[in-house]
Amino acid sequence: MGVPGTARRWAVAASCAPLAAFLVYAWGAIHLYTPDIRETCELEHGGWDRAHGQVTYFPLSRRCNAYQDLVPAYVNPTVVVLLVAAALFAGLAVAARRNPRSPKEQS
Amino acid sequence: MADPKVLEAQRWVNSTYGSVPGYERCAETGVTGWAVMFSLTRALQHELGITALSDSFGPTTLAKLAERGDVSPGYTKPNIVRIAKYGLFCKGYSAGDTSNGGYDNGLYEAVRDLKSNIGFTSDGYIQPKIFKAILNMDAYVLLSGGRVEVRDVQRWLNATYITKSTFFVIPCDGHFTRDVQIALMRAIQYQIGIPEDQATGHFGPGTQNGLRNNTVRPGSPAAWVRLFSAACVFNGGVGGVFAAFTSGWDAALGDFVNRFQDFSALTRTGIGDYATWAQLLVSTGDPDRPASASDTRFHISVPRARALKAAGYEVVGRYLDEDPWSTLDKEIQPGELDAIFAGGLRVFPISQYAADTVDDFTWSNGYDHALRAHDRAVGYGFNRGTVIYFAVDYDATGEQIASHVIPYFQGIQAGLGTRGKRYVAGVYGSRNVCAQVSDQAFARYSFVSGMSWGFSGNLGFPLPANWSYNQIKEFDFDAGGDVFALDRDVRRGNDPGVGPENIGGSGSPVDDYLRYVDDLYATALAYGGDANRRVMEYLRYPTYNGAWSGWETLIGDVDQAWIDYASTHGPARVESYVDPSLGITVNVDHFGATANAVYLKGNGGRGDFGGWAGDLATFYGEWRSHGEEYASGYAFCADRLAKINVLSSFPLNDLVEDVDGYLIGSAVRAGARIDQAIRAHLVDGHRTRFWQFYAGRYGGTVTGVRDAAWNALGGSTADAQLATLTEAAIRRTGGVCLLPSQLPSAKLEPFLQGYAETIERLSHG
Repeated sequence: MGVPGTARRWAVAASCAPLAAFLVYAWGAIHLYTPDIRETCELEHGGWDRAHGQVTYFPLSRRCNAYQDLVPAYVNPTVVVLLVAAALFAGLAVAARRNPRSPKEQS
Repeated sequence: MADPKVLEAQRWVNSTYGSVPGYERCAETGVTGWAVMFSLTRALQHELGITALSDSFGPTTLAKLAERGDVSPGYTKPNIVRIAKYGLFCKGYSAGDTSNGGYDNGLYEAVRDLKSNIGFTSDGYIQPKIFKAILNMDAYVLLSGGRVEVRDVQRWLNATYITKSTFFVIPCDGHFTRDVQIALMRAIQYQIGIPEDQATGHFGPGTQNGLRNNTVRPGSPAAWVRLFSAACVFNGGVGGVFAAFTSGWDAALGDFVNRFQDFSALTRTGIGDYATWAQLLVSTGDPDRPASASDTRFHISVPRARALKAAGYEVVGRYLDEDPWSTLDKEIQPGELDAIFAGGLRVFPISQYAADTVDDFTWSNGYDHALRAHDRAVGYGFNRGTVIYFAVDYDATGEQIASHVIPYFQGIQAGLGTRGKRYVAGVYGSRNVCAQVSDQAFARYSFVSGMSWGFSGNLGFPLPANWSYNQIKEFDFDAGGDVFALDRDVRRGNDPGVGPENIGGSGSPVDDYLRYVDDLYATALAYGGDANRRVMEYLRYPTYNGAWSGWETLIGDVDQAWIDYASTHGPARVESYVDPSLGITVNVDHFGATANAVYLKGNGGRGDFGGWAGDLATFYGEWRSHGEEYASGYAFCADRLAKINVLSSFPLNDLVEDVDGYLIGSAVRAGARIDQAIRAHLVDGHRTRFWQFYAGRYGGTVTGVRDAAWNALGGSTADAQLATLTEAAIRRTGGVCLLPSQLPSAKLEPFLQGYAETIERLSHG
């Protein structure tokens, strides 16, 4: 018996979402790099506070000060949404495989 | 370079009107300029039947033109059409066939292009105000250093207000100038409801009342938000944050306003209240706002000091000295400092000898004035590091600032240098004087003569970034019946002035730092290993360490066990100190990183990248990201490299840290002890730091600097890891841009030359 079409589509989506999450995460990680964090923060992020600047990987972050981060604000939420979506799509793929909706898929 | 069409215009106008009474010939050079525009204007006036010819394109010329209607197909005065064509050629527009006076398609297209640049989406007909716009030297395209946002507001003003009788086309070059400020003020006056013929562009009582009644805040009418945001755009950036031109109040505008109010020492309200409007529009701002500093030519006794203190003043500016022939008796008197301190005030010293005409400002005078000011300051007992404000007490034009005032301040710096740089030079003058002197002669702080709001050096210039005192109003102060003239100064707080603790001491502002280095070195000796290296590691940690800064790849990470040991057993960390030569703040970690790189890797390659070459890479990227504003890399260097007042990726303090790091790293690499090398440098060596750097690293030639800069930016690919780090640094500020090796040589060379000449100029001290 082949994999039903709906299940296949969910499975493809479930496999693409983590890849997208990885790409967004990598894009965010690029922003962590700066040879001179003081200069970057003063020029582009409203100022440098020496109490910040440490790198964390989840959430991806390297703060200039209490308010601004080198990592764009959309990166971490997007990664989370994509990972949650991956789990959801995987669940839907399993469900679709167990319970095919159309006679065609049941055949 | 001569332009054949400009030369043709000059020859034609001279040959056609040379015998007309009142006509003035222009030089036939092929180079455009005001002279040919004036000649064309006089020619136009003659064609219109005006007999009293003038350089000014005034109301009579406009009225006479208007009587004849727009210059358009079928226009009956061929010479007027030719004047328009030649004017357009002199402005850089190709205006068709000039062999006759016919209105052809070339002229139509040229005028349409010009009107499009001005801000109109219109036809190619020439209305009187457009003709006026043709016959001047205003630019309607973005010029070097201009900002796109400013250009867009300029276009909007032209498009919106050109129908007003007292509004004329303003430049659209992206630069905020006196004419642009007056145009904005007129627009505000129209919006207030002031009649067109009374809209003078001056900040008079009617305008002030109108603005008091039109605070701009969330929900304000779009017309007012546009004008307010336009004023914010013209002001430029505050700490790297710029306002956007908008018709609706948004969070970004509110954020800018908060920053602008903080920067200007206004009460932070976050809205466009009257004080903020005034501060954006005139150099006085609201002259009646709170001010906690003052200056006066009158002596301060204990009762006067107490009265000033009771009135809310914290500090008073007083003159160190005066010329022997002066009858003002304005200098500090014996015992006066004690009286000032006894009254609870602080003081900031001003040096002004003859300084009120352009001829007073020469290099030699500056040198002489600095020596006299130094000697008087020593006589009063002012401690090392005190800022002395040298005055430019007249309305110096931009040209005079370049030709006279800057050399005068270079003389001051040289004079203070020969006395061991005991004192730091500040500047008193208009906004433009302060900004230019700070950028080019490194005055540490600006004491701005803001109350002279009509000065050409104040109109159209923002408050300089390094302002410390802003003089906003002169009035008679009543100290219990003892009335004397006083200037009210807004005080920012960055220059605290001199208190009793700053008199009679023998120390230096770097003493704390030197003790810190001594203690750190002793701690490193106790820890063991290479003490010099350990000190440098501690200085650069944590900012210049780790994978994400690239320093792990460049020279390796610090010894973490040593960092932990020094944190426990070593002295409390000192993060910065005030440079004894320039009075600027030096960041110890950046200096330490550079020294560490040079110490470990030497001249060239990674040693360079740890200092000046890394900064040059990010500066190159910054230039490429500003490509629209700065076609010329040379102009970009001239405007942004090694400046005190300009927010850039390679400001003066970065260069000082690079230079000092190079010198100390090299000395230690040659066998010196780091604590002794730093002490020797900050006690004496700092005076010649740039010359030592220029000679030591680049061989003392401009070509040597240029070649080293080219190698650093991509000319040398022997070290693949370093090439990757260099590209990453460029992309950090430049994004997706052409790398130096991909840029055409003709484009890159001026940038390299700009860097080289800056270093060479600094090496002269």
